[in-house]
Amino acid sequence: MSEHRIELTVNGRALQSTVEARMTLGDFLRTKVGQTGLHLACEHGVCGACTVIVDGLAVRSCLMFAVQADGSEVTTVEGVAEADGTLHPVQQAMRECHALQCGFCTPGVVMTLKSLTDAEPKPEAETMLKAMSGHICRCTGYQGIRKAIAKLADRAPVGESA
Amino acid sequence: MKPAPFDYVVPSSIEEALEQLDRAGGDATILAGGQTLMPLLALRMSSPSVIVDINRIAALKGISRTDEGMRIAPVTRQNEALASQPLATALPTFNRAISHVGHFQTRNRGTVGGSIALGEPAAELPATAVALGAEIEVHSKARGERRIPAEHLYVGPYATTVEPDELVTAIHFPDWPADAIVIFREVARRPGDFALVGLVGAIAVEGGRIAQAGLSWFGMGPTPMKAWQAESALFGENIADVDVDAIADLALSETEPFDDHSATADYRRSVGRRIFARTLREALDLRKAA
Amino acid sequence: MKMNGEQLVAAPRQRVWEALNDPEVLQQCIPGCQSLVKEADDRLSAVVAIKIGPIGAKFNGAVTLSELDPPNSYVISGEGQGGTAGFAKGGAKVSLADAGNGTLLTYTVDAEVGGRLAQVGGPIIDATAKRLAGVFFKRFGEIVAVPEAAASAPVAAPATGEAASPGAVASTVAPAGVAAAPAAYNFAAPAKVERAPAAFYWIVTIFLAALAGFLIGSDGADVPAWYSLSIGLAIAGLAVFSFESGRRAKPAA
Repeated sequence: MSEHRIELTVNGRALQSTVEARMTLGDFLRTKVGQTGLHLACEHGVCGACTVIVDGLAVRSCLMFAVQADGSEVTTVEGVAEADGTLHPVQQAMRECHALQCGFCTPGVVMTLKSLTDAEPKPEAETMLKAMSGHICRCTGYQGIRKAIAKLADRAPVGESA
Repeated sequence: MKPAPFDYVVPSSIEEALEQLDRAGGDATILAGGQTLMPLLALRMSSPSVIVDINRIAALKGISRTDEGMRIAPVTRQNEALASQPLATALPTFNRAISHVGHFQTRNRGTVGGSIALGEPAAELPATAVALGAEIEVHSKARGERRIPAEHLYVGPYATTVEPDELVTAIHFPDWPADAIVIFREVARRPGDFALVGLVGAIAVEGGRIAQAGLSWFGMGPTPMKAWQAESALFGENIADVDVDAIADLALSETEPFDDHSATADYRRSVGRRIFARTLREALDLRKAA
Repeated sequence: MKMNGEQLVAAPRQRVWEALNDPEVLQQCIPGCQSLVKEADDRLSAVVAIKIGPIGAKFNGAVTLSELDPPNSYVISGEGQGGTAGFAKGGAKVSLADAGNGTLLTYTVDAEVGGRLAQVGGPIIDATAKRLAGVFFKRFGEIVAVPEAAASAPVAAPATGEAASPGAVASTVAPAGVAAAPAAYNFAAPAKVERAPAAFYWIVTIFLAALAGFLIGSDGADVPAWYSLSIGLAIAGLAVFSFESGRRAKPAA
C-alpha cells in the first residue's frame, strides 16, 4: 500500500501530511485539513459541489488524489473572504442576489466564479454562465446565480467605484 | 477510502513511465486527467495494482507545429487546448469539438490524450481524431515507437489497440486547409452530457469542388464511426451540386447505434440522419454564399 | 446477451473436438484467462481477468462442459464472481461439422452480466462480449489449425488496406470466420505447431481459400467471384503467415 508525504499550501497556510495514495483531495481537505466548506455529493465529477481551486484552476476535488496536490496551492471557500471578514466580490454578489438557499452547492459555485474573476477582472457573463453548467443546484432554480453573474460581469474592476 | 489500495508512482520522464508499465505486466493503469479513471476507481470497476501518474512529465505536455501538422502532447489539459490560438486556427473543427467536452471544471484537469486513449463511443475527441485522420504515437519499453492511425485505434467501447505496456506520447493531426468547412453537431440533453448522437469533421474545398472530406459519427456505434462512403461520395463534387440527402443516407448506413437507457437505436438513426443532412446543407450553403 | 457465429477451423473434427476439451488450449483462447484447472472430466475452475480500457475485473469461477456429444457438440458454461465488480455467467452451445478437410464450428452464446459491471450499460457489455467471443474463436482457430509448412506468399494485406475498405469482409460476422481483422489486433498464434508434408498443406490451403471465397461470395454480397477468391486467398495467407510467425508474446486481454 502506498503512503506518501505531501507538502502543499491550503488557503495560504503551508502544510505537510502523510496520506494514502488513494485518498482524494476532497476527503483530505475535509478530514485532515478541516475545510468542511467543500461538500461531497455525487463524487464522480458531475455535481460541482466539491469544486476547489488548485494552482489557479477550478477543479473537482473528488477527482484528484491528495498526493497529486503535492507542491500546489489550494484554495477552498474558507479562503475566499479577506482575513477581516470582508466578502470577496463573488460572495458579495451572491449574497445580494439571493444566489443560495440551503448552501450545499454554494461553495463549489463560489470557487468556479472566483477562479474566473481571478483570471480576468471582468469575465464575460457568457463564460461564467457556461461554467455554471458544471454545477447542480437543487434549491434556487439558478436565477439568483444568474443575477449574481450579471452583476459580476458588469461590475467595475476592483478599485473603481460601482 | 473508496478506491481499492494500489501502488502509486510518479515518473518524471517518459522512460521512467515506460519502465513502470513494462514492469507491471499489464496490471498498471495510467493516470492522466483522472476525470474518467477516478470514478471508476471509486466504484472499484477498476482495481489496478499500480497507478502510473504521468502528470509530472513535462515532455508529455504542449501543443506544437510540425512538418505534418499539429502535434498535441497527451497530458495537455483540454482547456489549454481550447484556448490555444494556433490550434484554433489550424484545426477549427478540433476547437469546436473540444468546447463540448465535459464541463469547464473537468476540462481543467481532463486531457486531450486521456480522452482519445479512452475511446468512449459517445465522446467528441476520439471521433474528431478519426474524422480528421489523426495518428496516435505510442511508445513502449519493449518495442519502441509506433504510430496508430486513428481509424485503426478503436475496436470496441473503451477498447483500443494500444497495448498495456504502451504510453501515448503524441497525437498528430495532419494539416487541413485553413478555410476547410467545419462540420460539428452534437445532440445531448444537457451541455456536458455524453452525446446521444454526434457528427464531426471537415470538408476541404478547392475551386468550388470538394478536395477532401473527413467525417465521423459519435454515439452511433461501439466506436467512432467513420463515414467512409459519404466521404468518398463527396470527393470531387461541386459544392453547388451535392445531393445532401443521398450523402446523408449513405452516412447513416455506416452506423450501428445502440439501444440504451438514454435513447433507442431508432431515435439515434432518425436524429442522426436529420442532423447529418441539416449540418451538411447549412455548411455548404454558408460556403456557397461566401 | 445472445449472439451466434461460425468459424471455419483448418483442422479435422476430431482434433477440434479434443482441443475444445483441452484446458491448456482453452486457457490460451479465453481472453485474460490466468488459470484454468481441470477439476473433473466436465468441470474446470478458472480465474479470468477482463480489462476493457480502464475497466477491469477479475473473475473466479467454474467452467462446466455438459451435453457432451463427442465429437459433435457440447455446451460450455461458466459462472464467475468478480467481487465488488459483479458477476458474469453464460453458456455457449458449440457444434462441429465436417467441412472438407476442416471443421465448421458453430456457436450460440447466451450470457449475462450483473452487479456493478452491468451499470456500464447493456450495449457496451454486449459489444464487448461479442468482441471477446470473437477473440476466443479467432485464437482457437489459430491454435488448432493444421499449420502450413511453406514460405508461402503471405498475402498479408496490410491492416491499412483492409480496414479501409468500406463495408466489406472485415465488418460482417462472415461465415468464413477468420474475418480479416486488422493486424492491429496483435494476436499471437500461440503455437502447437506440427510439421507435415508441404504439398498436402498447400492443397488444403488452396481448397480452404476457394471455400472461403465461395462462402463470402455467395453471402449475398454483390461482388465478382475473383474478388471473393482473392479475399479468400488473403485470409488463408494471413492464417498461414500468422502461424509461421510462431509463438509471440500474448497480449493481455
